[in-house]
Amino acid sequence: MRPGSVHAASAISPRLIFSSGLVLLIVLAILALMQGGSLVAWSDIAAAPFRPETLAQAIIETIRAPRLSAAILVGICLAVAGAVMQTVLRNPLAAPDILAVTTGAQLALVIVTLLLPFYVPSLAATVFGGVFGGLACLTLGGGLRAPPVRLALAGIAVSLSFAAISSAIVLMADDRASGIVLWSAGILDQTGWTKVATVGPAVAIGLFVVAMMARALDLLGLGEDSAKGLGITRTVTVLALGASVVLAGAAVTLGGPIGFVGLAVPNLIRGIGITRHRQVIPLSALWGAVVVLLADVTAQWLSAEGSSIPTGAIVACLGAPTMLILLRFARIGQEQRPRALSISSRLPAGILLAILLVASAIAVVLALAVGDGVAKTMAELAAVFDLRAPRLLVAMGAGMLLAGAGVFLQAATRNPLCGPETLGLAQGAALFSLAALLGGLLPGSFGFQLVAAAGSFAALFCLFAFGVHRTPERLVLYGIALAASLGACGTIVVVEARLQATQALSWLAGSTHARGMDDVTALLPWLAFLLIAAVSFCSRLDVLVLGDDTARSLGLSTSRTRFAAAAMAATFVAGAVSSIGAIGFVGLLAPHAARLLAGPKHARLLPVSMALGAILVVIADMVGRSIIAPRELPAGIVTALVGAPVFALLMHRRRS
Amino acid sequence: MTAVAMAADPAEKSQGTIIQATDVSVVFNGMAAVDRASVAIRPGRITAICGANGSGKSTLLKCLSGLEAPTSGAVLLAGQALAGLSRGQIARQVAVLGQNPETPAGLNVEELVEQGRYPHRPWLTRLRAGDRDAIERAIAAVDLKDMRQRQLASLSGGERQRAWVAMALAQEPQILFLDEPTSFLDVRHQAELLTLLRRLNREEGLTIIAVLHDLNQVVEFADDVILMKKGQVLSTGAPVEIFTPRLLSHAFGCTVDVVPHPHTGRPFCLIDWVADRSDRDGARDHR
Ligand SMILES: Nc1ncnc2c1ncn2[C@@H]1O[C@H](COP(=O)(O)OP(=O)(O)OP(=O)(O)O)[C@@H](O)[C@H]1O
Ligand SMILES: [Mg+2]
Repeated sequence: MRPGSVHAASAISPRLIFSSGLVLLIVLAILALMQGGSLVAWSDIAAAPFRPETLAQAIIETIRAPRLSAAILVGICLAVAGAVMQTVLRNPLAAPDILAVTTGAQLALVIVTLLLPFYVPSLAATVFGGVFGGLACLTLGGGLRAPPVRLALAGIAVSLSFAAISSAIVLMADDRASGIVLWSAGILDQTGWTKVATVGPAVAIGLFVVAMMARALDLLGLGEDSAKGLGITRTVTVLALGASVVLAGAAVTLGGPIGFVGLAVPNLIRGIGITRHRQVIPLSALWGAVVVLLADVTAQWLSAEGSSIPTGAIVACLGAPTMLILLRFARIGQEQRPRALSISSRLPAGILLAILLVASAIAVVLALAVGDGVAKTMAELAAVFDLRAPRLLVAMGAGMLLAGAGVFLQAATRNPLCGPETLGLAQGAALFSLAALLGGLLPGSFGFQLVAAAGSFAALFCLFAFGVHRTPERLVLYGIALAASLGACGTIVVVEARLQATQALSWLAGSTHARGMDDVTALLPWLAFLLIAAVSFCSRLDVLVLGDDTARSLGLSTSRTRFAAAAMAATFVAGAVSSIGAIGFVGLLAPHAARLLAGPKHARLLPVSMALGAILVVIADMVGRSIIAPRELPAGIVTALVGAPVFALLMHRRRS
Repeated sequence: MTAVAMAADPAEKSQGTIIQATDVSVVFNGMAAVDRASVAIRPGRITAICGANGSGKSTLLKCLSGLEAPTSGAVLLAGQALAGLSRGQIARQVAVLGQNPETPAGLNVEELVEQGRYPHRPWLTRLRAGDRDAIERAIAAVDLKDMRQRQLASLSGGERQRAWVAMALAQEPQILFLDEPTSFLDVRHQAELLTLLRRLNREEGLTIIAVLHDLNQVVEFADDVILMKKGQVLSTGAPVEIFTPRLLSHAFGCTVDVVPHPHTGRPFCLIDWVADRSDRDGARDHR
């Protein structure tokens, strides 16, 4: 079956889709030009082609028209790149952002702008970075023919860690929260035509190559063997992927990392029954432009009073609803379950215990001794103990909760891709935490925790209320969209409310900054709940992973158990996030790493996951405190940095 | 042809029925996968369910075993409505081996078989001696003693199938449902599995209901057969009685001949594999 192949209830005529898109684009373009004060009027836009020497004309020419062009180009590039990647990889989940091309390009851009002492053309940097990110994803995921879910998992992992590196670099170069928010969310502000003019030719070449390959892409969609039989060579594949990476790189150069367009638009176009690339490509391009422009108009409209909301955040906000519609009304191809819940092996219990004990001992000692300078004597240690011990304990508790949540979610959904961060539970809790913070609730207070729990449960409700979870791929696709939407709402809240840098980062990325013994006691009830849930649920989780029919025939009422497990996971997440914010990677990766060490049975898997989760967060926190001391890198950024190599190891073991 | 409910015969009623389904229908998206099926399963016997692909065998099996609630109609297990029993109560009497169960990675044979004890274990307890015995017996029964530590993913299709059978046996059910249990097995392992099931049936009185595709296997193996077509029960009874060329050809939509088996004298089904009459008749004419 072809990727993203869909069976629509009714096929809408491509011509209608094209003309309606064009009309919408023109309307939006006019809106975009007129937006932002009354400086530009109808008459100015009408007169613009004749270039009168007015202020309005100057504004149009130097600010608004370049921004408009950038928005349109970004939309075209991302959507076309996504369409091509989905076909070539035969993977409906493929897109520049999912395959880490976007984040790779962004990382390269951050490096050449902030770190390198000499000038590198930004397009060269983004294309190089995009290739690097894509290759990292393919290498980790298992090559061009890797199963969709595995490739997406690898891509998400690489993306998260690249994004973390980018954030770390931005934080080191610029301490303001606004800096990191703006760098990481996609901004279309242009000063003059320079960027548009430099990427223009590359975009043209990329689009030309793709257009020439439309027929070959049709054949590629038929499957590797038939394509080969019809004379499609590997060169075609490489050329198509190369063109899509160039397009994605151009998009990042123009507007930073804007996600979802490449994933959603081509899937939607295919969803309404259009399959020939001669039509898919131009329609994707047009609607990609419409989506980005719409987001940009919305962003400018919302940020009228001087604050500047990133366009990428708006696009991401639209991510979840779009994906929901897509999943509701279209059938995404390759609806098969990943065959196995990740690989696992096991060590003898004694060795395992020894490893965990040694690792936690090292983590504890490091966490207490290292920070802003290393404490070498007992006296020095005693001096910093009161500051560092609570942070250590909070980090451990949160790590255990997140890892526990990951195990529960993966068992409940039988889906190795699920974690608090890929299903949006962590982002939901973080968004509600931000709201609670703005509402004046004290972090660590019961009310605050309750609001955070409301957040994770709201995310859970959004996930399961709409019936898109029939296959794991859909669930994760929607979960990632939901996570991105909620995270983007968080970004918008931070920008709009002008929250302080450390506070904002603390909830968006996760940090143990300034946590005290109060926060430790606030965590205790949640940990008690985690332990009770783990003990009472572990044999049920063992049965649940055998599949619905088998589990039911063994006497488990699966829907109730699954719901209970998911609700418990949401509770754990709320506990963790209300104490240290949305720390990523831990809940997703600790269970996988634990499966590798302890095997699949939950009686061993759960405790080992929790231990690994705790160690991971503690080490991340320690590194974050010390690496750019006296300033701090949020632990959440470090977990992503630490998580990536661990994950790389995991994926490699898995393939060999 | 009309469906003949076995329980309608008073002589057979005296033997009792362990599962009684009356007018069971299952509707998916407006289409009846099972259409007003009434069957009675007798205890201590082997019942085969036969029919073409998509005729509703798996769905009927799920209804009878309580995995799926019928859209209408009722199923009684030992006189009690399945709908009124808890999952645990059903699972202590009934084991089901599905058509292609998922195997979670990393689980080894022993751990899989262990899961069969789940319905018998009180909450929050570890495995007890009785559980261990049941697991040992089940593993021995399917001859997987040497492979008990092997990961399921590393087994061949047939070995994995036997591991799943062992899990169902560890459940120590009175009734065992199997959906195409022989489909991944080579002839020898098919024979071994059927022999094992037959032994359990004869020695321990295990009631077996299995979906089987090989009609000759059914004749050898099953005491009763339920023949389905398009969701309806076409006929029920002993294979020796109901396997007629007309009925089978009608059920499968291809030409099936039935001749006496040269050794046993029981019916032997000959399937016209290359259903091109004119060609064969032509060849015959030349002779
Ligand atoms: N969950 C479901 N949702 C929708 N339709 C279903 C579902 N399960 C089965 N069906 C439909 O019901 C009909 C009967 O299916 P069933 O699996 O019972 O057939 P079967 O006789 O077991 O076939 P096979 O020999 O291929 O296993 C089929 O047409 C199938 O498409
Ligand atoms: Mg079937």
